[in-house]
Amino acid sequence: MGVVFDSDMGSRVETALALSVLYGLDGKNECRVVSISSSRTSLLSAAYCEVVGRFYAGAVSGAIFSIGRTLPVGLAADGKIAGDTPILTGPLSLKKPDGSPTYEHGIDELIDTAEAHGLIRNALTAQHDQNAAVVLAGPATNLLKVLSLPGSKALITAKVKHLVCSTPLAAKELEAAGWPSPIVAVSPSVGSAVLFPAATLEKEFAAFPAHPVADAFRVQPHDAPTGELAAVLYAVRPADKAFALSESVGKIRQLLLETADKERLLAAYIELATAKPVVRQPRFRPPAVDAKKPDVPPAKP
Amino acid sequence: MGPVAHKGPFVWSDRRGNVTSTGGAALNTIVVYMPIVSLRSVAKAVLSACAALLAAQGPAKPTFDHSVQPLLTKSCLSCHNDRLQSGSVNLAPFVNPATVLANREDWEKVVQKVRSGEMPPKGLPRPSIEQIGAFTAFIESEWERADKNIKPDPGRVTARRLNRIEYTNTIRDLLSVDFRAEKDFPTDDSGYGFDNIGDVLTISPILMQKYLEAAETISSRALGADPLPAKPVEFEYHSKTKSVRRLDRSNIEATHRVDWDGEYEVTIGLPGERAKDALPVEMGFWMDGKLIDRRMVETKPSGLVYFNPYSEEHFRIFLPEGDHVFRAGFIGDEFVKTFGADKEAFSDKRNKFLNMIKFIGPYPTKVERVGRKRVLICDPNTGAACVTKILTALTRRAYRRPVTRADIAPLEGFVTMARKEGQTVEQGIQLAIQAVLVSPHFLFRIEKHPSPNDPLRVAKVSDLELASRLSYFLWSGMPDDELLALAEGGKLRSPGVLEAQVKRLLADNRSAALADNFAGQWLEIRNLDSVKPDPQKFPEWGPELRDAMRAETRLFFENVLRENRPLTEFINGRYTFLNEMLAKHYGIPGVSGPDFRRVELTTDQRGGILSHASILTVSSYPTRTSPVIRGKYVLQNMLGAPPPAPPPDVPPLDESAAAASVGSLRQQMEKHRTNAVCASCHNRMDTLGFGLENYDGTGKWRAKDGKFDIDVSGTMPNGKSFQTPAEMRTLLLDQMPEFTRCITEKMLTYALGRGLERYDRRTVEAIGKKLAANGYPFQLLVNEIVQSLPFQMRRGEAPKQVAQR
Amino acid sequence: MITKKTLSRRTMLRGAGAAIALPMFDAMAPAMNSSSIPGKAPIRMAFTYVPNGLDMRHWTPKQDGAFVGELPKILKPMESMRQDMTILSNLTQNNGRALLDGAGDHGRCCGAYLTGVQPRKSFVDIKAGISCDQIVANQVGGQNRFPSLEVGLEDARQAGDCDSGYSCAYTNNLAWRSETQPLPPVLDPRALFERLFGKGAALNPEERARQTKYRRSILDFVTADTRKLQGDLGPTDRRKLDEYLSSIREIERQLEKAEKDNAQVNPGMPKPYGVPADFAEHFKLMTDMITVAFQADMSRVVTFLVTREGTSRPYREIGIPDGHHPLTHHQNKQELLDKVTRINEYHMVQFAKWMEKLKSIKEGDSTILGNSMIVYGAGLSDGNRHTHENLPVMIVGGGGNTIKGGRRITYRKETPISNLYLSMMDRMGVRIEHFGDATGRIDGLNLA
Repeated sequence: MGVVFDSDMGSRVETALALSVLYGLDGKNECRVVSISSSRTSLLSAAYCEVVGRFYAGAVSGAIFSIGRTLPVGLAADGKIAGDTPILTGPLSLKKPDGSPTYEHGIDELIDTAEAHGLIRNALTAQHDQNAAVVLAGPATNLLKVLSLPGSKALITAKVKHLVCSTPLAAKELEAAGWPSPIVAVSPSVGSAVLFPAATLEKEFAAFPAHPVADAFRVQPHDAPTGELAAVLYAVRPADKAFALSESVGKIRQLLLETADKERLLAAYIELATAKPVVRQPRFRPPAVDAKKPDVPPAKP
Repeated sequence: MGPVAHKGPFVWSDRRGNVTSTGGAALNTIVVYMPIVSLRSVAKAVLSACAALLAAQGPAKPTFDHSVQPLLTKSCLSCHNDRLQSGSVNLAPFVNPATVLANREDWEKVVQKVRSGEMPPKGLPRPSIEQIGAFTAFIESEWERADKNIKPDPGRVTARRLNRIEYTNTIRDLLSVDFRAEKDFPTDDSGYGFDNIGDVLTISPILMQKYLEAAETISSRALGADPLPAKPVEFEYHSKTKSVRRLDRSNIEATHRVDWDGEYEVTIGLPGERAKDALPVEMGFWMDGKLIDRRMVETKPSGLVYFNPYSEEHFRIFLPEGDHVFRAGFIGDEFVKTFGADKEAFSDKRNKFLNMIKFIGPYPTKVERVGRKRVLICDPNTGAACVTKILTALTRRAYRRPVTRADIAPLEGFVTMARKEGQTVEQGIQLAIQAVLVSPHFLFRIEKHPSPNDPLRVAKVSDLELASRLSYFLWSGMPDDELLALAEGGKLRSPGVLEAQVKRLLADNRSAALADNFAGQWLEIRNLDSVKPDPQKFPEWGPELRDAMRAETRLFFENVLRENRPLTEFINGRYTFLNEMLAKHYGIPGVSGPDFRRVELTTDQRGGILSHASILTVSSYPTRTSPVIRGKYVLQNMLGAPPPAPPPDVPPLDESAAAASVGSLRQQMEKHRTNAVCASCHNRMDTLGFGLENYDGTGKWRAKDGKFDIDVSGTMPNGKSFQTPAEMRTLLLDQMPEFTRCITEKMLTYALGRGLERYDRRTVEAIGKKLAANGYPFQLLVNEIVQSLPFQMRRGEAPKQVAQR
Repeated sequence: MITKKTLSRRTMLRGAGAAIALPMFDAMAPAMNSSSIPGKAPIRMAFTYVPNGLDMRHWTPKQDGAFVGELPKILKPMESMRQDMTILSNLTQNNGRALLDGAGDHGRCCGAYLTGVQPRKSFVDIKAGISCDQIVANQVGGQNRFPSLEVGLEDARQAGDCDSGYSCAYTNNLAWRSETQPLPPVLDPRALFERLFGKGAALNPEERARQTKYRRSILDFVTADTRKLQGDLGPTDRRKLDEYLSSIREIERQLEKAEKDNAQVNPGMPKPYGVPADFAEHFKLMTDMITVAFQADMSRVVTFLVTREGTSRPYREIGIPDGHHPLTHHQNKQELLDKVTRINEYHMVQFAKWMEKLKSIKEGDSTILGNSMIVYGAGLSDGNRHTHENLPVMIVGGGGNTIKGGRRITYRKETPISNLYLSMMDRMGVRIEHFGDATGRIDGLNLA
C-alpha cells in the first residue's frame, strides 16, 4: 500500500507524531511512503518534513528512490507565507557540539521543493490500482489543486482506496470538489479520546540520541491529541478492531473508536512513533553514484 | 522477444510436453522465472522439481487439493483474504477447482506472479520450487485439457499493405521495372520481429506522397515515355571532394542517383603503382551489394613517366533508375595488408588503389523494355477496344484477381482525360497505370469475409486470396500467371495441386526472398548493415567480409530449404558455404577465389548457424563480444524462450563497466552477477553466451580474449555440462522440440503476417509432432504451414474488440 | 542560400514569366511581412533531440540567473550565442518513468518526450499521444505548405527488439500525428529536398499544373474506390483503410497549397544525392534545408531526431569506436564518461553551426533565430541510471522578443516538461488549457 501524506506540518506537534507513526508502519513493511507534502507555505515546514524523512533514512524514498530518484518534498507555494512555529524552529535550530546543525536538510529555497499537487499526482501514477491511500492532516489546499489537474479524478478513482482526513471540514470541502474515492473523516472525539503521553520523551524517545519528532515534542511537552495519528493508522490498517465507521453521510464516513481498544491503540501509537528507523534497501537500482558529489552542482553561488 | 513469449501458459504448457523426456526444459522455465537462486540451488532445484513434476505425472494423479490448495492457502490467503484484500485482491473464492477454468484470466495473473516470484512479496516465506512447479503445472494442465475441447480458431489477419520489399518485387513482376522501394520509402515498422505484420504496417502522408511519386516514375519507366536528355550528364565522385567513402584500403563506395534507365560510361580512377613484379589484381564493381562487373587490373608500373602514377578503367553498363550504392574495389587483395600505416597504403609510390568513380550518361540502351511489351499487348492507337484489353490484362495482375467492368471504367476515364490534355493514348495508359499503382486493391492485400463482424463465423480464404498468401509467403511477391490461373479456375485446392505449387514456388529463384526476408529477420542478419565493428579491433572487417558473411548464411538457409534438409542442420550442420575471404576468416584452408562453394567442415570449431560469422557479429558490440546479447539471441531465436524483461527497477546487467575494468569479461560479469534477481535470468543467458566466447566480435576463432584465457564451459539448465562450443551444439540437439517450435512459430508468424495467439498453439504443436515424426525435413514445415488452419481459413471480428483499443 | 532579396527577385521574374497571379504574392507574403512589417514575423518552433541522456556534469551552468564566466564544456560550442540561449533546470518527464511498466526507459522516455503521456508497452499495438508539435501543426500549420517537418539522421532499426518490450516506433520517432500514428523522420537529404522543393523542380508551370490536376483526379479515384471497399470489411481492416484515406486527405491539402502558390522557392543549394558518409556533413545538409524552409516560411514546426534513442552508433569521426548506448552505462568510469562527454560536445558543435546560421539571417530588425524557439535536449538526464528528472533542456532563440536568453532558470523539482510545451504553444498562437501531464505553464522565460 502506497501512502500519500499531506499536512500543514508545523501547526501542531500532533502532525509530526502522525508522520513518525506513518514511518513506523513503513518500517514494518505495512506500507510505503510515496509522497510527503505540506500546505503550510513555509520553507521550514518543508525542511522539517525532509529532516524527518532523512531521519528515517531513505524510507521517504519508498518505491521511488528505487528508480533512481529521491522524492522531493511538496510545498504549496502560492498561499501567503506562514510564520515559523517553535515546532519547526526548535528542532531545526539545534546544533551539534561542532556547531553544525543536528538535522541536515537540503531545502534552502523554493526550488528545492516540488509543486505539491504535481508531486502527489506523479506519486499516484506509480501506484497499483486501489493500492494507494491518501492521508490529509490539515487544510485541503493541496488536494483541491490535485483535483484541478486534468485526468486527476480518473487517476484517483483508479489508484486510491480511500482518503482519510483528520478534520470533517477538509473532508466536506473535498467531497464538494468531487473527490472520487471513498472519504473517511476522523471524528473530533477521536483525537481527544486517546492522548499521546509526553512521558514518552523520558521513556521510549529517550533511547534516541537525537530524534526530530521528539525534539519537536520537547518544545512544549504535553499529552497530545491523536486524531491525525488515527488517520494514519486507519489508512494503513483499516481492519484494525479499534476503529469503527459511521453510516456514510454523502460520500463521507466518520471514523470512530471502539472504547474497549483505547489501551491497545495507544500502545500501538507509541510503538510505531518511537520505532527505530529501518533502512530500506533501494531495490536493485544503484543509488546516486557519489552522494557527496551530486550530478548537478547545487543551484547556488 | 515476441509477445508469444509473454503468454505464460503458451511457453510453459509446451515445455510440459517434454517434461517426461528430459525435465530440463520444464525446469529452466521455472528457474528463469524464480529470482534468488544461486547456480548451485539451480541444480538442486532442477533435480527436486524434476522429481516433483515426474511425481505429479506419476500414479498419484495431481489434484487441485494436492497441488494448488495448500500453496494458495499458505502463501496467498494470508494477505489476499476476505478481510485484508491486500491490493484489493481477494483470492478466497479461488480455493475452488471450478475457478481454474471459470476465472482463467485472473488465474493467469496469479500463476504469472507466483512463477515470476513477484508473489509472495520479498520478506514473506516463499513456497519451495517443487510446490510452485506442481502448482503451475496442475493449473496449466487443466487449461490445456480445456483448450483441447474448444472449437478451432483460425484467427484473422489485418489487411496487409505491401511492405517495401513486397512492393519492389511486385513492381518487378508486374512491369519488369527495377524500382527500389527500400531506397525511397520510409522504413516499415516491424512487430513480432518481422516487417510484414498487417497490424503495424501503417500509412503516413509521407508514404502516400511516395506512392504517388513512385507511381509516376514507375509507369513512365514501364512505358519509356520520357525521352532521354539530349546530352549525357557527368557525375564524379572523388576522394578529394570526400564524395566517395573509403570503406577500406581497397574499396571505395558512392551513393549515386541514376535518373534514367539507360547505359552509362563508368570510369574508375586508380592512382599509384606497385612494385615491378606486382601481379594484376581483380577489380569488382558492385551495385547495391551485387557484383555487376569484374576485370583484371594491372598494378605494376606502366613504364610511362608520371609525376603521379595514375590509370583509369572504363566500361559501359546498363543501370536502372533509382538511388544506388556503387562500390568499386579489389577482390581479395592481399597486397594492401602488407602496409602498416594507411599513410603508406595510400602513397601512389608504394601502392595502387582507387579514388574515383565517374558516371557519364545516359546513352540509349539496347536493353529492350520488357515492361512495355508486357503492357502494350496490342497497339492502343487502334482504338478503345485495345485500350480496354490492355487495362483489363494489367489490372487483373495488379489486383491479383479477375477484374470487373467497374474496375476498368474509371481507368479508361484517365486515358480520355489525358487525350483531352492533348497527350497521346500511351501517355493516357501511363496515367491509368499511375492510378492502379496507388489503388488500395494494389497496395493492400485485403481478404473478404462472408460476415466480417462475426467472430464466430469461420470461412475458407478464397482461392485467389490463398494464391496471394502463398506467393507473398514464399516469394514476397505477386502470384505468377500459373498460380493466378489455377486460383481463377478454382483448382488451387484440388488434390495435390497446392503441394505441387509449393514445390514449384520453392524451386523458383524468387524463393530466395524467404532467405532474405524470413531468415534475414528471424536470424537478425539484416542488422549486418547497421553494425559497425571497430576497424582498429577488427581490421579484417569490411564490406567484402560483411557481404560474404551474409552470403554464407543465406546460401546455407537456401540449401536446407531447397534440398529439403532436416532442421537439425541449423544447429550442427557439418558443412557450410565459403569463399576465399570468409574461409581465411575462419582459418579454413583450400578455398580460393571470390565464388562461394559448399565446404564440408572437418574440425569441430564450426558447425551449424551458431558458428556463422554473420550471427556472431550481429550479436556483438562494435568493440567486443557480448555473452548477454548472444545468450539472449540463442534463447530468443533458437529456443523460442526469450528471457523475460527484467522485473521493475532492475538495471541492465552492465557489461561495458565489466569490460572496462580489470579481469576477464567472465570474471567481471560473474562478480557483477551478485544480484540474485539478475542472476536468475543471466545464469541461463550467459551460460549459452559464454559457450560462444571462442568466437570474437566478428566470429573469428580465438583461444584467448586479450590476455585472458577463454573459459567456455557451462552447464545447461538440464544439468548436462559442456566444455567446447561443439559440445554445446550437441547438447542443443536435445532441445530439437524447442527449436522446432521456435522456428515454426516464427515462420507461421511470417507466413500469416500476424502475431500468434493461444489458439494457434495447437497448430504449432501439431506441426512440431509431425516434423519430429518425419525427421524434421524443412519443406515439410513449409507445407504444413500452408495446409494449416490459420493459413487456409479466417474468421470475422467483433466490432467491440477495436473499440477497446 | 537565399536572402529575402533574391527570393523576391526570383519570384517577380517567374511571375512575369507565368502571368502575374495573385496567389504568387500570397506565397511571398510571409517572407515580405517578416522583412517589411517588424514584429509580424512568423514564430518557428523546433525540437532537437539527442539520445541516451547527457553528461550532466558538463551541461548545467554553475549558478542560476545570468551566465557567469565560461559555459560548461558541452555548451562551449554555443559561446557565440550565449545571449540567445536559456538553460532550463529541473524539468521532469514523469511519464518516461517505469510507472509499473518495468524496464524500457529508452523506449518510454522517447515515446513520452513530446507527447507527455505514458506510452503503451507493446510491440504491435502502439499507443502514445498526439505530440505538441503536431497540435501546433494542426492548428496553425495550415497556412504553410508543410504543417510540420520531421527530420532525422539515423536509419531506423531493421529487425529485432528495440527496448525490452517497446516497439521501435517509440525510439524511431519524435512526432506523433495521433496517439497511434508516429511520423517517421526523413533521413535522406535528397528525400527532404524533393519533399520541400518538389520532385518536379524542373517542371514548368503548365506541366506542374497538369501534374497536380492528374494527382487530384487519381486521389479522387482511389478515395471512391476505397469507400466502396470498406463496406464489406471488419472493423480493424476498415480502420486500416481510414488511415489510408486520412493520408490521402493530407496530400490533397498539400496539393491545394502547392496550387495556390506557383512560387518556386530557390533552395539555394544543389540537389543532394544520397546520404553523406560524414555525420557532420549530413547534419549540415539537413539543417540547411530546415533553415530554408524557415526562411521561406514553408514550415514553422520541426522535430529533429538527431539519432535514435538508445542508439549504439559509434563515433569514429571523433575516434570513438564504442557504441553510444553501451558507453552511457559508464558506471562513472572516467574513461567512459569522457567519451560520452565528447559525443555530447560533438553533437553540440554541429547544432551550434546551425544556430549560427539561423542567427546570421536577418529578418526585419531581428534574425530568424530571434523569431524562433529551438529546444535542444534529451529524454533522459543521466543515461547511466536512466533518470527522468532534471532533464537537460536548452531553448535557443528569442521567440519574437518573448524569451530573454543568457541565463539558467531553475524550476521547482518535478516540474513537468509539458509545462514548457504549453508556454511554447502559447507563443505559436495555440492556446490550449491542458497538455499531457502539464500542471500549468512555466514562468520567467521572458522576465529579465
